[in-house]
Amino acid sequence: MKMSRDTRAFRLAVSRQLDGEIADPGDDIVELKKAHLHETRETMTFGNLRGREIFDDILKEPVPLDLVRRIRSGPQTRKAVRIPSPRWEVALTIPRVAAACLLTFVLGGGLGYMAALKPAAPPSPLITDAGDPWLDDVVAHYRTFSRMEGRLAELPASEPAAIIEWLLGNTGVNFRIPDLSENGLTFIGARMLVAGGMPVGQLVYTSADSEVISLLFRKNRPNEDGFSELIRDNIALVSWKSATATYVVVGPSSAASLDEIAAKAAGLI
Amino acid sequence: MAQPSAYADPRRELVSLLPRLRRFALTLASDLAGADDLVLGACSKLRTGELPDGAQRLDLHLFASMRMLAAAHAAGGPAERRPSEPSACQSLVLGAPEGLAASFLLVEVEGLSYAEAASILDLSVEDVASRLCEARLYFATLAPDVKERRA
Repeated sequence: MKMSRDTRAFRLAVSRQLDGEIADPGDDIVELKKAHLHETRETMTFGNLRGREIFDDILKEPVPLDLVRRIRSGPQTRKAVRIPSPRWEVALTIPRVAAACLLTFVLGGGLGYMAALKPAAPPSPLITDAGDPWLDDVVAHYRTFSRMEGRLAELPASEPAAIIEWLLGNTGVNFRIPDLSENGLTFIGARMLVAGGMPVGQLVYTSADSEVISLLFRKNRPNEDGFSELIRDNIALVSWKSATATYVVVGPSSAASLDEIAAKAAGLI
Repeated sequence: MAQPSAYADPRRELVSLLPRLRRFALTLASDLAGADDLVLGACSKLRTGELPDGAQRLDLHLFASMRMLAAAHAAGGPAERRPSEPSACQSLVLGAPEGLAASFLLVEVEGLSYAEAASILDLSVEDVASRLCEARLYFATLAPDVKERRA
């Protein structure tokens, strides 16, 4: 769309005024475009709202596990940006092509033979996201309850027998209360919630930095995909499965040792 | 909120900043994989060196670092990447006219001044003001129902 210089200047002035960068768009410009002032302001304000909505929603998108792992786990194995490098020009001659084919055949055969010798390993857990309603509920619940200082647990840590009886009876998952003190976590108590239409037990811990870390569990559903780790906004989840139950450790994404906590809890629960 | 230059565990800071870093990277890249490359590149550079004395905020330092990487990348031409499917909102930002979304994000969403945004984007304040204005007009053309709701 072609815009006159006046229109461009007028819009720019209105935009700057919205940010408080200038007091008013200028008498001459306003006079010129007085009829469009209200309309232009409305358009700019709507653009602000739409842009903010879009960027707010992007912030809620899960961050890929691969990216989180690469950043958590020290030096990069690959450069992030490919710096232009001189192109290798190799002439394709018949002997070179034949040698390449032979090499590929030998390597492929060798690798296939070695793979066949290894016992079949279980497939690694899939990172399914994110549209899973039970994870949505877990994240929403964590976001709400973790801010309630002093009301983090429905049953306190001083009643372990009552906690086990309560959560076992309602979730059907047999469990122990893991002692995670070696990971710097103090057991606060237990809660119960409904996520994805199923009862979920929750053991609540806090760190020395007052971070709230939750260990949640529920019965498995048939044909359910698993996930191992994902981050939603500022909340991270690490999950694993047993034959009968699914477990999730939830905490702030800044808790770099969440995966270690999950590994420890998996051995104790 | 200003962050101290000396920080105990950069990984911890970086992971907590990831959603915001990735969001800014989307305004500079042409696709999701390119955005992730920028985030990785900036974080990798940070881990191998100290936060410069002049840099008061880790997030702003990383924003500037990603902008420089994006410029270097653009000079090198397109790279082959693994395909990945952006969400509806990500597509709107990736599809925005070049340079508009970054100015909008820094000023309108991150709350920086024109001068701070100009410093990160290596632009003049006038250019930031102009791009911000264009960005507002662009976002105003996007129908509200395109927005994707997530938890």
